Amino acid sequence: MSDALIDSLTAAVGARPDDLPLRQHLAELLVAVGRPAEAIGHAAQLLARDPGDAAARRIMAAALGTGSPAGPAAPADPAGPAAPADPAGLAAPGDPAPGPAVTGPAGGSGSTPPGPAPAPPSGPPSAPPSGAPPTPPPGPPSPAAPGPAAPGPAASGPAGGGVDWAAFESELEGVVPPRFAASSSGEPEPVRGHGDRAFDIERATVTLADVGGMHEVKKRLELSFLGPLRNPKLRTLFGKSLRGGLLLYGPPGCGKTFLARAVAGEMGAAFVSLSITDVLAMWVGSSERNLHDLFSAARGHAPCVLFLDEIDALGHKRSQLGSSALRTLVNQLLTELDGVDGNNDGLFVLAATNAPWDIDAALRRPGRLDRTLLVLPPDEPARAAILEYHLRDRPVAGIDLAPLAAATDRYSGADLAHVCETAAEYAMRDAISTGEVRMIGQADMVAAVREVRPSTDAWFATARNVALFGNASGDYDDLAAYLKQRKLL
Amino acid sequence: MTGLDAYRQARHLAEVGRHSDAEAKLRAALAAEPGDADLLTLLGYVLRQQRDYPAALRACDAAVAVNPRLADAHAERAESLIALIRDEEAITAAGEAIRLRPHDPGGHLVLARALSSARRFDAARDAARHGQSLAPQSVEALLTVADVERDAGNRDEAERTARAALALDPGNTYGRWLLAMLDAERLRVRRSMRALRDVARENPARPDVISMTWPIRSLLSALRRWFSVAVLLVTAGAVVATAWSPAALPARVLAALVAAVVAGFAVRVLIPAGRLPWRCLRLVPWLLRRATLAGAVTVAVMVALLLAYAATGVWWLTLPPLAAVPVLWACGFAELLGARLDDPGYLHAVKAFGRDLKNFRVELKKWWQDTKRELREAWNEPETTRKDPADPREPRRPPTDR
Repeated sequence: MSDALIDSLTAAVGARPDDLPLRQHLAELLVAVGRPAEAIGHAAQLLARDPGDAAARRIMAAALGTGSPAGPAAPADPAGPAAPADPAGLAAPGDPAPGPAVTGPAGGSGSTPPGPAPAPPSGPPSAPPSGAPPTPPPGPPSPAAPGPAAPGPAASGPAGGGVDWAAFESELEGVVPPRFAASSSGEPEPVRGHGDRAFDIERATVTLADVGGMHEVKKRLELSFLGPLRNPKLRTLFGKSLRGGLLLYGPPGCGKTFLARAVAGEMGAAFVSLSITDVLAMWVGSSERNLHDLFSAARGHAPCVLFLDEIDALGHKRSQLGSSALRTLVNQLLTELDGVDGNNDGLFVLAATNAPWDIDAALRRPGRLDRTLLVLPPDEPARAAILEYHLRDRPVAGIDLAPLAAATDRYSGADLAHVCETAAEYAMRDAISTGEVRMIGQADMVAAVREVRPSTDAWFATARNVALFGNASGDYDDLAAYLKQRKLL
Repeated sequence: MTGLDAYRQARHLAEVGRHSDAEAKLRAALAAEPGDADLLTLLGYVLRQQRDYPAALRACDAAVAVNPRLADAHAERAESLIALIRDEEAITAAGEAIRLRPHDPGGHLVLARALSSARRFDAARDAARHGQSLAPQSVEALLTVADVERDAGNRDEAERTARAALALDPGNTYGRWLLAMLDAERLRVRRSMRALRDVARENPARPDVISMTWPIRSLLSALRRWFSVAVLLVTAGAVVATAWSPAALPARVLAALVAAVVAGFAVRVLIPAGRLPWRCLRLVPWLLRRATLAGAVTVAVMVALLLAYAATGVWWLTLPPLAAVPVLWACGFAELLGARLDDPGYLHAVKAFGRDLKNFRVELKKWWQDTKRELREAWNEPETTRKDPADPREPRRPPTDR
């Protein structure tokens, strides 16, 4: 098989990114000729569209090198690409179904035994609860998504190259209330909240191409996290292991959680999220066992991204904790991150926090959350795109996004959503008082920008102190550089 | 979710520093069980941690109203009152907590803090010691004793007790801060600054930047005490020398000596402190920063003029330093105010004082009007009694006539 054929197929896929059979064919060829790293991206795209696509999962598992659920983390065979995976083993990564909620022990099913994670090749590691409805993907990419925020790669991304605004909106859903109340009939609501399940294992449908702006962050993610993952040969050459996790930190409302989902989507991996609310809602008193079960379940769904949200609360400095329950939780988290009694191959831990300085130092040691990435407020093009998105279904006229984007420096995505809400409120108030409906205009937006202050200022004030007093080890060099650049330090 | 669940969850959230989340959880639970005194007490604690002292006090008042026999509610109420600088009420509340639960060291320690805040150091020391005797291995008790001793000026005893606390918990942030400040008071500059920097490094999000400016502020504070007198003496000598020339040399020598002492003291304090106090000065509240910088500039100018007088003997060069003395004192006052500007409890106390003052003015005005009226009436009384009240030709004056 010639490289010329692959090159022409690659060009064809580039020209017709939505041609899934063509993409699948290319991915299969890439695996077959020993270029699994390139195949991973295509497999991820296929899985992003149809997480249940067995062929795509088979290609992904083969591309990841071992054909086992623990594929991505396994050392690559220096002699060549991994052999095509054993089909029996291919069921594990995404099986049994795309994203049904796996009820943990707290839910009483006991379907995820706390034993070793790797699943036997004859079947999935844990069976779904019978009758459990499959969790729908977080939201289909909007075909009407505006283009400006989409970076270059977005052209070949899902949804025809647009930003996955639905996913981004779900990130900000706590800030901007839903426009309409959920219907009591029709499709069942996806499981949300923490009262009725232990945790959900989802399939992330967004990729980094769906993240508007943030080029620097994406570049660093590619270099420090995804690159090594996609290049097993290079990894082997440089003796680089896949151990360790990634800590995303930055001001609130700037898309850390969304980015984590995008990383999971990029890898075509399952996605499990855990936050302090989960722990407090269900777990206090049996936190060790439940945390172990969660890690076991995540290992069982390898490749899996385990996302620890608000890690400063989950892994708070033990010296500042008086409660033994929370100390135990931190200890257990450390044990699980080390993977002492369960192999962490194929389990990628991402964590996010607004306050990395409150995290127990042990959590940031090598092999745990040893890489950090600063996620800053959106840059100007991203701000314009976010504003455009939040105005998309509103009656607007004569809005000039460029000056608005320029005037909203240091505004988070959540702040920008609030700006649009406020502008709409002004126009509506006028409509009520005059009895005449009018469009939301530039003046409303400017007034809203004046009223809504960036919520990141408080964070940056704290960050300045951290850069001054807590950066002896250089942990916050990127933050200090940013603050210096903005003359905040 | 039961009230107990909410209480437990809110406690955990507060422990990891998520006070606003804890507050939300407590308020949600209180909407279902508004009469839960434990929830109200914890709400008071969470609000106090967020430095919303008036709201914290209201929550504690509600808790006490619901369950007057809950010692924790009284103790928490006393803490809020201390923060609001209502020391006598705090002492009463802490006393009530002790009455309800006499063997709980917490109540005694709160009482000690309230008494110390009211500058009743002997009683505070007794209360703290008693609290410590109930919990001999308690780091909090030892640090309260150390705090009280420091406030009372017993630095040796304060240091000994703080070291005992740190022997039990070497990483205790407050204990290390206390030792650093005791070192500062003894002008162990380098050691104090190193300890303060270490404490800030471990809690970089919440550094005590005001404390770290102590070398500059203590220098200015010390100068204010005697520099004014020295400048006055030099000026007097210079003025006398204009009429009696033999006084010129001693006056110039004195000026040079004063300038040298000030410069020497500044070098003694500021050189070992390094750049840290100046860097922290940029982070303190604006009034404190400006007042401190203005004070430093004023002292520098005064010293330069004194040196100029010592060198040239031109007598009027001593007049500007003398004129600058009130400026130095004004800067000191502004600095004192500025250091408290970010303390909501202090601001609230200032506002309450302002309200009291306004009320007092209104009452005074009313008293004066009443007194004036009564005096007028008393003045008019003899006239009316002299005349025949039954005489219809004499018009009767209303009693409020002024």
